This record gives sequence, C-alpha cells and structure tokens, in this order.
Amino acid sequence: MTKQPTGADAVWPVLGYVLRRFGYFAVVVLAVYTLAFLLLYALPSDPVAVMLDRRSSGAGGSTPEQIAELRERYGLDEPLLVRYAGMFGRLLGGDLGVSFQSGQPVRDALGAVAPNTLALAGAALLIALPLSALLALVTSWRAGGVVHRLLVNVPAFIAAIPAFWLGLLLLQVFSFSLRWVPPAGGTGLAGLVLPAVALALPVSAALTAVLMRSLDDVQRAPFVTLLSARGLRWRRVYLAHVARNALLPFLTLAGLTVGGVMAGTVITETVFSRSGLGRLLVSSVEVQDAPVVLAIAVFGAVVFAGMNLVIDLLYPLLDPRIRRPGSGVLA
Amino acid sequence: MTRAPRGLAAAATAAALVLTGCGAGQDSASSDDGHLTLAYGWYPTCFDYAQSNPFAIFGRQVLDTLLSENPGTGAIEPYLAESWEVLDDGRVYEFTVRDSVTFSNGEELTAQVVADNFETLARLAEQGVSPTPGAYLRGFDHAQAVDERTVRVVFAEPNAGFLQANTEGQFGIIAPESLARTPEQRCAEGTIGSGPFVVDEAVQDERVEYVRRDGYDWAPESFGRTGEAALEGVTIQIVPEESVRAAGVIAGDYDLAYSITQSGLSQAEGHDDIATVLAPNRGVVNNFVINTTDPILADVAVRQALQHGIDREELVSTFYGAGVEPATGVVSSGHPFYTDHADLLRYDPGLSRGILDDAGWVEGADGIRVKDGRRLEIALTFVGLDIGTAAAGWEYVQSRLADIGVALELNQVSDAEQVDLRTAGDWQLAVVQGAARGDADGIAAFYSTELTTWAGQAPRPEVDELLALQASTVDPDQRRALVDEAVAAILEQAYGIPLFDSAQVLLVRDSVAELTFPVNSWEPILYRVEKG
Repeated sequence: MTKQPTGADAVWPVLGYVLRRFGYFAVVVLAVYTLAFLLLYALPSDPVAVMLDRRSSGAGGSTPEQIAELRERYGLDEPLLVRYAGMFGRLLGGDLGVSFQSGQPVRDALGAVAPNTLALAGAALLIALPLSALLALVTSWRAGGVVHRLLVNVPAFIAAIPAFWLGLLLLQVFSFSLRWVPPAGGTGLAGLVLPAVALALPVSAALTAVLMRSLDDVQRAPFVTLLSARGLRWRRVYLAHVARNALLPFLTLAGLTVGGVMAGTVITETVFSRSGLGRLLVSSVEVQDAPVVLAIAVFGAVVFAGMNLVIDLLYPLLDPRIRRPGSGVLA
Repeated sequence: MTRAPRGLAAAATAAALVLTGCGAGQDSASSDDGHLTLAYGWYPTCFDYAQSNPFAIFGRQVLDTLLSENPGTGAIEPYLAESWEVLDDGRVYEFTVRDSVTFSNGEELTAQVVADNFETLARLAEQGVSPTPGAYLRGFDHAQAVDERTVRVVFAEPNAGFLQANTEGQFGIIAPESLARTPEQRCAEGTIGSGPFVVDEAVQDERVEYVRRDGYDWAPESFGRTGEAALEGVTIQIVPEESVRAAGVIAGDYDLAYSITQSGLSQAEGHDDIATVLAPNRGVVNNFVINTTDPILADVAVRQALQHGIDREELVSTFYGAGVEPATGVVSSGHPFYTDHADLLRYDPGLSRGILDDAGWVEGADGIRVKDGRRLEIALTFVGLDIGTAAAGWEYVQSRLADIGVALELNQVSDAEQVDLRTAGDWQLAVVQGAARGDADGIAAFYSTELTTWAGQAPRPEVDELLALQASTVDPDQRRALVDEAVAAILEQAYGIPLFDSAQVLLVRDSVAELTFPVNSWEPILYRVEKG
C-alpha cells in the first residue's frame, strides 16, 4: 500500500527542485559569460588595433605608444583574471561598459535595439506556438488517416526552406509588389508582421514535428484504449487526455526554441533591414567590439536560461505526477 | 574608405526575386519631390568623420570644409575660407575665413574656432583615435587666430598636401560645442557643422534622417548652386541586403541605392526608369602589398615575375562586373596624380618566366620553381567578405601564377586576423585597397615604408626619400615630377602589384538629378541633388 504524501513531505522536494533549477540558470549564465569572455579577450588579436584599422581604412597608422595608451584607456592592460572578475562584477551591477567602436555606453546601444528584437521574437513565438499546436492537433487527429498522411510531411517541407530566401520572398510579394507593408525598418505593427512570420515558420516546423510525434505516441498508450473502451467520445479523449499528456515534450522544445528564435533574428533582421540585437551582434563581431558582443551574449543567455527556468518551474503545475516524491522526476 | 559589398548569398537571392517577377510600380518615396531616400548597407559605428573614415556619406552632409576642389579642373577653390596664402615654403598657411557663417547650433564661425579645430584634431591624432587627420597634419606645430577672420596654421616642416587635405571631410570645421566633447561623445553624438543639412534623427541600424539647414548660403562656387539645398530632407535607410536595396529602388521605395553588384544590376535590367551610376574611386587601387623582408619576396625577380604574371584584363572581365577596371597605375585614373603605366603592368608570362630563369629559379618536377633548395611558394592573405567572387578571382590568379612556376597559397582570413598578421609582419602577399585621397600623400601613406601600416616592408630608400620629398615640395610641377619618379620606381621594382580599380555602383531612379561625387565615391554632394 502506498502512503499518500502529506503537505510537509511534498514541500521539501519541490523546494529542492526549484533551488536546483535556479542553480542551473546561474551556471548557464556564468558559463556563457566565461566562454564569451575567453573568446573575446584571451585570443591574441587586439581589439584596439582592429578599431583603429577600421577608422583609418589604411590612411595613416597609429604608433605602438598610442595603441598602448588606448589599451590602457579601455582597461585592456590589466591581467586577464582581474578583468574577468571585474567585468563580471560590473555586469552584475548593470554597468555594461563602453563600445570600442561607437564610444556609446553598451547599455544605451542594447537598450536602443533590444526592444525591437524582443518584439520580433515575441511575435514570432506568438505565431509559432498556436500555429504548430493547431497543425499538430489537426494532423494527428486520426493516426494513419488521410489528413495525417497529407500533413505529416509539412513540417519537414517548411524546415527545408532557407530562412533568408523565405524572407526575401515575403518582402517581394507583400512589400514591393502588393505594397501592404513597408519594406524596411519595420517600426510599428505593420512592419513587424512579415519578419515575425518569416522567423516563426521554420521554428513552428520543429515544434509541429515534435508535438505530432508525441501525440501519435500517446495515442498508442494503453490508457487511451481503455478510455475509448469506456465509451468516452474521441474528441474528449484526444483533447483532454492525449493532448495534455503530449504537451510536456512540446513545452520543453518551446523553451529551447527561444534560443533558435534569438539566433534566427540575425538573418531576419538583416533581410528586413530591422534594427535589433542580431544585427548589432553581427556588426560587433566583425569589428571585435568585445564589450558589445559580451553584453549581447550574456543577455541572450539570461533570456534563454530564464525562459527555460520558467518552463521547468511550470512542469510540476502541469503534470501532477512530477509533484509526487519518488516519481523520479524531481531530480 | 574601402568597404566591399557583400550579400547573404547573392545568386540564390536574385533568383528568388526574379521568380517572383519583380515588376511593381513606383511612387511612395519618388512621389515626394523634396525628399530623397537613399538605401545604404551599413549604419555608422561612429558619427564623427574625423575619427571614422568608413562612414563618409553620413558625416559629409553636415560639414563644410575650408576649401573645395573644382571637380572639372582639380583647382583648389574657396569654401569656408575666402582666400589663403602659403608662406615659408609650405610651413605656414594663412586662411581668411568667410564672414557671417554660422553652425547649426547658432554658434559663429571665427578664426579662433578654426584654430581650435586644428588644435583639437592634432590632439585627437596624438591620442591615436583619428589616424587619418593625423596623417594630414604631419609636422603640425600650432594654429592660432591672427585676427577675427585670419587663422594661421604653422608646421615644423613643409606640408605640401595640406591645402588638398582641407577639401577632405575629415577636416570638416565643427562648432565649439562639439570641440568640447570627448572622442567617445563625438562618435556617439556626431559633430555639429555648418553644412547644408542637419541630422534630425538617427535610429541605430535603421536610418539616419537629415533636414535642410535653413539660411545656408555658403556653398562653394563649383557646386553650381547657391542658397539652401534643393532637397528639404534626406533619409539614409540602412538596408544590409543588396537584393533588397535593388528591389526597393525598382519598386520606388528608394530613390537610389549604394553598393550594387552584378546581381543587383541584373535585377534592375529592363527598367527604363532606373539608371546605373558609377561613382569613380579616387585613391590607391586594389593591389597586392608585398612583404619585402620575406626571403622569397626580397628577390626583385620574383616580384617582377608576379607583376607581369597576372592577366588583369581577364581577371576583371571574368570575376568582376560593372565599375571595375584593370589597374593601369598605382592610383585610380581619376586621381590628380594618376599616370598611365599600363606598360609596366602588362601581362607577359614569357617575360616573367625569363626573369625567373635569369634569377636562378629553376622549374622542379611539379612545375614549381626552386632556388637554393627553396620552393617558390607564396601565401596570399585576403579578407573573405564575399562568398563567391573574391575567392574565385584569387583562385584564377593562383592558376595563372602556376603557369610561370609560382605556387600561390590562398589564405582567407577575417578583418581581425588580417590586422593581427599585418601588425605582426607575419604575411607575404595581401590584398588591400588604399584609402581614398586625391593627393600624392595618399600614395605616400601606402607606399612609403616609413608611413605604411603594413609592417614588414623593408625600407626602400630611393622611393621613401622621393615620397618624403614630395610631401614638403609646394611647387606643383616639381612635386608631380617627384611623385612620378617614385611611382615608376615602385612599379619597376614591383614593391606593389596594382590589380584593379573599383568604382562604386549605384542604382538611381530617373527622378534624381544633379547627383555628383566630386571628392570621392562615398561622398555624393546631396546639397546639389534635385528631384523632379
């Protein structure tokens, strides 16, 4: 006979679970900071030399003394470990430093473009999540049915379309030919639609595939047969039981998708001439603008790990089995 | 300014756009007569022209310079300075500043402001943040206001290029308010000038908006226009993808687009209302710089064999499109110090082979020459921007050089790696385009081993001396003779291998008139531009 857990017994494992998830969050962010820092500052190439080279385009050079002075000015002369710790401390305090290239505080540069990227990524997810859920639900309604056979390959097809090509196609049709939306900039809602769709489609392909697979799998579980045998209508079995049980992998992937969406903004923002973190990242990497690259990397890590933290914390609420001690899930 | 256009994958892109039948109509941007919308690929990382060569187009519109260059005659003419005098053999320059000129913040232009401009530039140069004006100010001692309208700039030694430098945007005169800013602030905020336009709004990676400066009335005569700019406003829209820039011009969203390559041109084919405009370059052409301290390349025979072993005509016609011409000298043909040296650069593989034979480089079993046990292997470093063209072109050069027994190894690097290799002197051949400057000092900055940023070049006394001497020779004819002598020596000794000259290619709607590029291809004088 199994003992029903009392309230007190249930609290500790859940608390431990929550604390562990916060720990993972911190580890991911710190790891990204460390890796980005090492890539940017421990490599032999000199960001000051790159900055000066770009500014002069070869018309007149700077003396080694001037370069040394500038390195000092940007704090590049300190030992690596000192900079590593110091910069992390300042990041925690919200001081992101100053861009080598533009002389602008990194916080201002990020502040100017991050809302655009968050709006784009948010809109893309708002399109991708319902779209993929709907597509998967429709496809898997009857495993092996005509609809299933017709739609099952749609995600693979969508995933095979190159993102920039899709973007250009959308631009050509809806901006340049039909003139429904402006081709560049994309301030306001009208400008957000096309890039959001272009970003959402490839993302929803993966989500659809996973949810479809998981719906198909759950349908084969014995409890579904049992529910049907007891006379429950298929619609109720499918939506209330199959779909709910198939949701967890979908949710996990949705969390990981945030990373994919953020990465996708690089191409989408370029094709649609939108300002955003993706564009800023590309231009900063090209010229080794280390403070900007580092800040974007850490920001991306915080958003990505943060979303996954939220989803991890949602698990126990969505699936009562996870809350039960000894289920092995609260590990 | 040297910046190669690039695309995500131009060919596939063009195909996509052709498939969708880029027909479309006009209007939107074009229908507004007073406003010009220009599509450009890159947002400026720095708004201060003195600190940032690559973004000339943004700075130039708000700035005036002391002098201007007549695009027809090349003569130096008044601009913010009414008149000037060269004293003490080019050690002292006196400018009489024009009356009643104001900056866009209301501050007045005086001799003192001009003197402060030069002093500030010299200080920025000393800090190392503005290398180009630093080069223009070589030998600067001080600048002072003699009276309300006269400013005197004094050099420790003659600076023959100084007058021409005063036509370049890096010497744009800025307001006292901007002079008081730190270099970082100047970059981030931009500088306040007296030019025909004022920045109205700058949105990171999206666009920069300019409005016409009310009451502007001091354009140089050669601009052929007086009073305010013809356009009420200008938008420079940042459109990173070339195919989108081209499609935007075709659809009428943009009046003109910069940095167009063959794929953009084919998009625009068949559209009668769109013209292809070539904005000529005026600088040291694309070339191979040579590390002359390298044991193999120290041998003049090897360098000369390279000089005559590359078929520039075929390289250009096969791998580059409109706007690219084979080099016939060290600088662009529109450069005031251009001399045609096509003969010294002619393709003659027989000659190359003979030179190598005579120098004792003997062909080995694999066709690659050997001398004293050393194979004739040379590494070519180039920055990989374009996905296709660049690398393919160098592969072609590789095969041509293999014909004469030279093994060329291709080494594609990033911008940052290139800077590292260069400063460390750890390179053999590299592909570089010199900065655009319409003065002999631009040649000197590239080919004098005392001035070049390409470390590792052994001093070449005869050329270095000539280039130093021309920099302090004020007499135009004497100066020209010195430069010609230096250039001939550079090409004969093959201290550099000029390859091709590339103009900027633009797509322009036919509603745009009076578009000119008197200083260089990156500085259209939008003040003159009209729309109809």
